[in-house]
Amino acid sequence: MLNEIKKYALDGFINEKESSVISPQGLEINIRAEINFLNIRGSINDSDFIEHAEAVFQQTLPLDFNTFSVGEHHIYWLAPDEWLVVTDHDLKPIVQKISPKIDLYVTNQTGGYTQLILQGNSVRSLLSKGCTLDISEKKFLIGQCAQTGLGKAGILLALTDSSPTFNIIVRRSFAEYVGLWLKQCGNEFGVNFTHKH
Amino acid sequence: MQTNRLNQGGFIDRNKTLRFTFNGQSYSGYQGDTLASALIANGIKIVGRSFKYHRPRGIIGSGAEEPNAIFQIGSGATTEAGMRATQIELYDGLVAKSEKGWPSLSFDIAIINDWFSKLFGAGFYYKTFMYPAKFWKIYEYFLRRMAGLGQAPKQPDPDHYSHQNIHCDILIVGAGPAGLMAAVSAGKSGAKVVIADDQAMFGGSLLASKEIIDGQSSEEWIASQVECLKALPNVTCLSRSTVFGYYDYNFLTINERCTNHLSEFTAGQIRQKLWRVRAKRVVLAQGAFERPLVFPNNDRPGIMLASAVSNYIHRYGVIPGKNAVLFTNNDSAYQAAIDLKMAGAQSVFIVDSRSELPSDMVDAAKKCGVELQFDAVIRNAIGNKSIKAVEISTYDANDNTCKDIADKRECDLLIYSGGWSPAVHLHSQSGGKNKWDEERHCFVPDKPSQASSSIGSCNGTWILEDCLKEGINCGQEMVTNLGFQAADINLPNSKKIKISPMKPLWQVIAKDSPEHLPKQFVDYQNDTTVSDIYLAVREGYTGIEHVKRYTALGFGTDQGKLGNINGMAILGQALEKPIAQIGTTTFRPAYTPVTFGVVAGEDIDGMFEPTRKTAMHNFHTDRKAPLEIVGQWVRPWYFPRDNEDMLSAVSRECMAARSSLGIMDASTLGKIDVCGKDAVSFLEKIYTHDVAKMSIGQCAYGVMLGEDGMIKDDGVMARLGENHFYLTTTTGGAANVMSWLEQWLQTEWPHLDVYMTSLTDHLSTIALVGPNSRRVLQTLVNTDLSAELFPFMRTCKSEIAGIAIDLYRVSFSGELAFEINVNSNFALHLWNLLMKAGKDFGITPYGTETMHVLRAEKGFIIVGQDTDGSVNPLDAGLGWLVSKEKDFIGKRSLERADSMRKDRKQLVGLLSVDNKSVIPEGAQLIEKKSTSGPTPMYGHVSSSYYSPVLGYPIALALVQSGRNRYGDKLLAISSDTKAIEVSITKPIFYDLKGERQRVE
Repeated sequence: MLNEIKKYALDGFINEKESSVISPQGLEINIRAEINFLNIRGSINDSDFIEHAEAVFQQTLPLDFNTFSVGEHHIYWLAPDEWLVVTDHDLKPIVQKISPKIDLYVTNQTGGYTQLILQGNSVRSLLSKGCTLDISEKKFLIGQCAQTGLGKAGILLALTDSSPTFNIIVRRSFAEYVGLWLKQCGNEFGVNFTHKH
Repeated sequence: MQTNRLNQGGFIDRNKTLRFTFNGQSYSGYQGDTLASALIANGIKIVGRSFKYHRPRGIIGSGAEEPNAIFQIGSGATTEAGMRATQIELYDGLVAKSEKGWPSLSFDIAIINDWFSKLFGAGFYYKTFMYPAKFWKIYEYFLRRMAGLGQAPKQPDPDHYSHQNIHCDILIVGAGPAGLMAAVSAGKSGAKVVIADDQAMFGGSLLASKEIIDGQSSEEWIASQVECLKALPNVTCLSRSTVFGYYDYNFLTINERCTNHLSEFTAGQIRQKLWRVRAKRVVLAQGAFERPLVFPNNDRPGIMLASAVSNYIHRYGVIPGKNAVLFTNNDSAYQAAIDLKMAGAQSVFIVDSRSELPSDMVDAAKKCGVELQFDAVIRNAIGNKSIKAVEISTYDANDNTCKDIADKRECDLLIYSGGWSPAVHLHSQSGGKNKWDEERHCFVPDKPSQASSSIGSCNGTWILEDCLKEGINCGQEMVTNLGFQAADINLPNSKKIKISPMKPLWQVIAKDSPEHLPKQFVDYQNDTTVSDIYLAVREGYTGIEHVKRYTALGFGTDQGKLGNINGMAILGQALEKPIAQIGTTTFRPAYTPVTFGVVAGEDIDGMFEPTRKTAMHNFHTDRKAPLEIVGQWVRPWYFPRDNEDMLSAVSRECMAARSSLGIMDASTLGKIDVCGKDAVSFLEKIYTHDVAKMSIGQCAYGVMLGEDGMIKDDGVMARLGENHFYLTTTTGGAANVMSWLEQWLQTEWPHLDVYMTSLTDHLSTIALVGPNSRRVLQTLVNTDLSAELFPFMRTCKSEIAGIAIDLYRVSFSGELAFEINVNSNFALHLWNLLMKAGKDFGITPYGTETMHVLRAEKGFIIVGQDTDGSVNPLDAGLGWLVSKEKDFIGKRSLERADSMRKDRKQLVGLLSVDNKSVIPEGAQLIEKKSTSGPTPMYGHVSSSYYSPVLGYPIALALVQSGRNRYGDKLLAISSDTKAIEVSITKPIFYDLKGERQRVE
């Protein structure tokens, strides 16, 4: 019942009347708002924390900087003491498993982020118009993520497969700007936006 | 008629005729022409008027160095000013206008500047137009018209520009022989290479030469190298791309002109791209500029650089003249004489300032039928609108003087060459110094200051074989340093020739002093002459940077490409110092002019700045609320009904909140979750109040100070658990506060176990405000909201229709109020539920203006409006918030004598004495207008509104010793209203005891 009343940052972003013709060089951008985000804090010097976090999330916590782990969830490294869990699963039962005895702190961020999934031959060309990071094949590998900029907004960027597929996680209030930026700058390649529910 | 077009040769397509206009006249050229080559083909001699003296000028060069053929291209919205004809590829329909010359190019009224030029030496403007000072506006109007530096379009640019970031192992600047070899040797090793050249075709100087390389013509050899590069996936080739800036950390910028050569406007396509390159290594191979020679009237139309003549013949099949005189001090210029002869010139006569020495070039010229005279110079050029003849003198290189006129020779083209200057611009921009080379008589790059190398003629290497070798070695060395296996590259075979050395000739020195001779131009674009440099020296300017500013030598879009070295040498002569001691001026980006369009790229219009919107934004726009930008957020300002104006809307909203029920979107507040074992001790250091004493569930208003003791930010904060807090910050300060807190935590107190996480986006905040807020909210929640169980300044968790919420009984209006935090995904739904629930009580959405009025009535400050970085909490009347029992950031500064001065500016209230004038914000407060000397100012108005609930205007102000002056009267003065008499009061106007917000 609650799902029907939710409103996401990029609801209404796709104009159904606009038909875009995609060239082979073009790209697909899938808006995935309906997922859950959870921020984790804790100290890597605290083995209890790591053990407990991995037990709670049933997944390894990526300890290498700028990497993410894939399992039931995507867990992104954000800082030496900070991670972001992106998941389709309901957060409540997960958070209930956290023991108050362990110094593991979480904040729900579900309303605070939107995820965009970019796929196609021109993704790197498009992103490098506004992202100063070296995202070429040899330098930005599958499993890597980075907090960087796109145009004038901050994003979390991750490479998930070689097709290539890039995930962009952006703050809710910057999502429209990033959407418009991708639309405008992607015009030269052809961009097709879709919603995945 | 293309009278100067050759029947064959050049990289042009004679089957594709292109029409263009120049100053309203129609002409035609061919595909492959530049505008300059097409103008020369059509026999056009005068292309512009000079900057100061308005002398007629012709085309001198064939590339970026051209100082005269600078045009306005196109019309209307797409017009571009300051474009060099030598760099514009011709397209059908091109419209070009010279930037100076009125009423016409052949008769420019301002030529009188030239007749009276003795009056107009360097510094003339500074000396003349200073008095009387107020006349400057009149002088300026005429001077700007005279200067005529093109026109910017008034309409928005319809073209599309874009940016591209790229990282590479090696960036190679210039695709001449050295650059190409470096690219091939680096590219074949597998390194990621970008090679950029400002011309349409790769090849550089080889495009205008008939060299044989590896048994191929230079044209074939270039094609084979380019083919090899294009086949390598790790090499990016950029033509029509000027590397115009070299910044720190090997960051360089390239301007690629994608469609400029196609037409004035190409719909739907990107016109220009800005490449932002981060390179591990940079190879500078931009080549060299040929130097002009300096002699009287050396600016007559029809005088051209030797290399330009070869370029026009070989690349465009254009012969600039049939009866030529060539004036040189080096062998390289002989090629132009040979090329002219081969192209069918009737006569070519070389005047060489050197004595004859054995040289293959001299032999080759003689063989073609070129006449020569050694130990001679040109001492004057005759012909006003085009060169007609030259006066030749004998010359003794050893004592650097020219004798009497020996000969006068008619000609229609005068070619000159004073040697070559390496294009050290980018090396210099990168922070590298240049050194004078006594053998080659030019500045060459000294040690690079970044990871770069200069090769080829931009390193002072003139021989083709040496350039190729440098290219190969440089490429191999760089890739090896970067950890690649260098590919084996054979040095291509090229012809070795014997040349006789160049001998410097900076200025043809006659018996007369330079002032008594016709003008001898050093910098054509800025009309700087030899006598200007001598004048500067006489007036005491001896440093090159000072002489540059006094004479304009090396200024403007030209950046001294042609004139700088001659100018420095002449300054050296005037000061009797060697040129090595004169040094160069600083070369700055941009190397050639860059359009604003490409700098802006796609960050224009709505994309210039991100606009952040709250989850309730659509509600606000559906109600047609005017929007206000706060930080990057767009917030509703007020919600007008029907045809309400702002004042009526705000009055209605204020009254609703004071009398019944208002609702406001406060989501833009900065929100920070703080947890960790040391959260309390951390926040004790941050806030001035006693955080440790707060009970769980308690809220407190807190201020943070900078180390200077001044208010940095403020907001309500709450204790959610033993080690768990929730902070709010101002909308505009949110990001700064967060990073400032992180800075303290990470750099000063890393031992503290504290974690901060932003909740600004996740949580939306809805403020429900007014005497009926509790009654309405109680219908939606199960939590008991009674004053006993949920008093003022408390927080708890609750739920509305299954949606989890955090409730805060806090107030920024002075009324009974609740702030509701909710997951942003549910915020709009919750807002609508509240609107429905409050319907019977006339629930009234209000915006930022009403929020401001309500808080001002209560004297609540806005950080950044009522404070300005010089206001401490005592000044703001917040002394009660400052704990005496603990330490916090800024405490020590608060104890300084200055912080406790009695005459500091303090926050007070103001009322206008007439009870109806709204005092302008920013107005200064004085006692009375002084008739002599400055009027003492006692403070200023920081916030001012009409208060609907009180029925009269109110204001907040910062006034010296304000708290001791309650009841005093002052005058508020500002530029846009009459002085308003005001009286000083306490900074609170409504509900002085605060009973309404604490209501039981």
